[in-house]
Amino acid sequence: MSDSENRKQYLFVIKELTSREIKRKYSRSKLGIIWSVLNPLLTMAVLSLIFSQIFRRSIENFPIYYLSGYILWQLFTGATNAAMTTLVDNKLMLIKVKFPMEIFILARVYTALVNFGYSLIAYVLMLLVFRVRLTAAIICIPLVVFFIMLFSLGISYILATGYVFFGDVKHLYSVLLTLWMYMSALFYPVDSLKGLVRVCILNNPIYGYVGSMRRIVLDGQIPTTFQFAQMVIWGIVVYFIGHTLFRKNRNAIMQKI
Amino acid sequence: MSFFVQMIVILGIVMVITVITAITIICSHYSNSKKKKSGKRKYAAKSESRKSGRKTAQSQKIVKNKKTVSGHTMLGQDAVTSQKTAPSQKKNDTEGNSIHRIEPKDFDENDVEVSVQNVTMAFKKEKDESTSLKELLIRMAKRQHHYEMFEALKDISFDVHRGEVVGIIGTNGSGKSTILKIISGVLAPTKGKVIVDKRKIQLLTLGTGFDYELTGRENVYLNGAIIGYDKAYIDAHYNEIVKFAELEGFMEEKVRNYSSGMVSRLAFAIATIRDVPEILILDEVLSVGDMFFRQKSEKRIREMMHAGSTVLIVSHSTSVIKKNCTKAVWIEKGHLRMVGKPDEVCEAYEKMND
Repeated sequence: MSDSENRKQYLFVIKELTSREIKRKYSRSKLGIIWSVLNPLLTMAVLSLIFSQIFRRSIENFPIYYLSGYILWQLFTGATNAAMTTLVDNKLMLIKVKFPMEIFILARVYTALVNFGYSLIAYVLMLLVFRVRLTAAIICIPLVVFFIMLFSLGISYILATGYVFFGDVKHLYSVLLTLWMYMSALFYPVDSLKGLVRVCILNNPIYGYVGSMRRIVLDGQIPTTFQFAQMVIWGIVVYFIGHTLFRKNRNAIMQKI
Repeated sequence: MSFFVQMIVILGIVMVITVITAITIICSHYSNSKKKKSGKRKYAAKSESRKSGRKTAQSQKIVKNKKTVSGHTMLGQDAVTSQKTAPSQKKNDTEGNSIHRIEPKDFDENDVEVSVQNVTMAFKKEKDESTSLKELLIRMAKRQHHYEMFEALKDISFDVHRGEVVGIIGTNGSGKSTILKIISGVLAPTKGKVIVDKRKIQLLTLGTGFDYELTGRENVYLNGAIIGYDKAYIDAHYNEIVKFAELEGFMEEKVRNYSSGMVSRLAFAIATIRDVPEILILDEVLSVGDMFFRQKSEKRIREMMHAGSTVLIVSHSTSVIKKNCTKAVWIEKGHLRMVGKPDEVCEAYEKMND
């Protein structure tokens, strides 16, 4: 089989695995696939309701400020959390496959991207409700999404490898995520912080993506050069670290499973 | 806001701690893999000594077939195997009083499809394995690492020719599934090698890869994709699969509601629908389903044999092997005990169990 044929087959497999994940997520509910949009929409409605009452004095248009970060955060956590356990979950399938194991991780990350797409529908509705005026800068959004995906993929490789050997990684990571969420300035302004904490947040990769997204949507401007550099470097570097780590441990993973 | 700052500082400290623990995990992983090597060497020495001790007892039992009639002269330089059996086996050939020969009638020596050469598979077994991080840290602090090398397979060699149906028997836990995994390339052997074109292989094990929350139809597509069919192919053969599995009218139902026989029928149908899967590996599949489906699947396997497929079957059931195979391999506790005609191997196997 030639390379292009292989690639086509991989894409088909990823598509099938993804459709499986999405179907099974709501497989026991009556509304089924509609929940994919309804769920983020309701969550966002609740969040905007709450947050339009609190914090409103310090930030303009706070619900959107929060939601812009929230959907990216959901994309990141959804992808990494799902991809972390994928090798263990699909252990029976792994035995059968003739293609690289990466497929399973890619499929879970891609699933998160599809879910992000559904959330985006809800997000656009929210933008309409709050009458946010978009500018041409939104063409940068795909770039932001692309690099956060790359970043998530890198983290996913690391976590998936770790999770095969230590179940603890899962619990450790959930703690880490809570911490990370607070460090990403999802629902407070960074300007109010000083010193070390501020430095930490500004250099936080997730904040790079979230900040860019906010700048695009709320200010209607393309991200600054610094933000661009941050996004690209974090995305690519983490991806390569994750991928090499995964490659190196392939055989060990197979044995353990 | 000062409360915020305090909270974040505290969380920052937690982050540092978690990062440090993560690093220790990685470090320990790498130090483990170093130790593995030294452990292996030790074990090899041990097994060597044990082998020699048992040789006299075993030499009577072991029957070797490696001397095919024309084998040695016909072997070209590109055809690997046969001669390259382990030294211990050569000894057995000379010591063993009965040497079994396979009929080489249909098979050309150059037609070796799967060649398993001196495969040894060692797993690292941690004594009272610690999967929790706390234990691991404690052990790392105490520098205690208890490893035991567990050899699932010891020096296994055999060849499978094109069009042969080879049955692998052995008691539970003697390494049958491990050898299949090595052949299909899922596991890499610790020592030795397997020469085979991995793209040709199709592995069929029971109920693997089925998602019980999905419908039968969705599972056909998912499983087909994983096995390596493209969409157009599955579309074209979908009805055929359903018909063979005798699941008309059930395909829109969730697999959760299927009986176990239905699941394995569907799995068998998906795996064997390809015109000629060149190498089909069946792990304990033929003994499922009702009598009628079993006959049907056995017929299918014979059809595939005639079409030139090579089939490897793993089974506990000697009757399945006697009925379907042209050659049998007996693996016992990781050792290759016997290779030869199904009838003879099965007979010896049954005798051992008495």
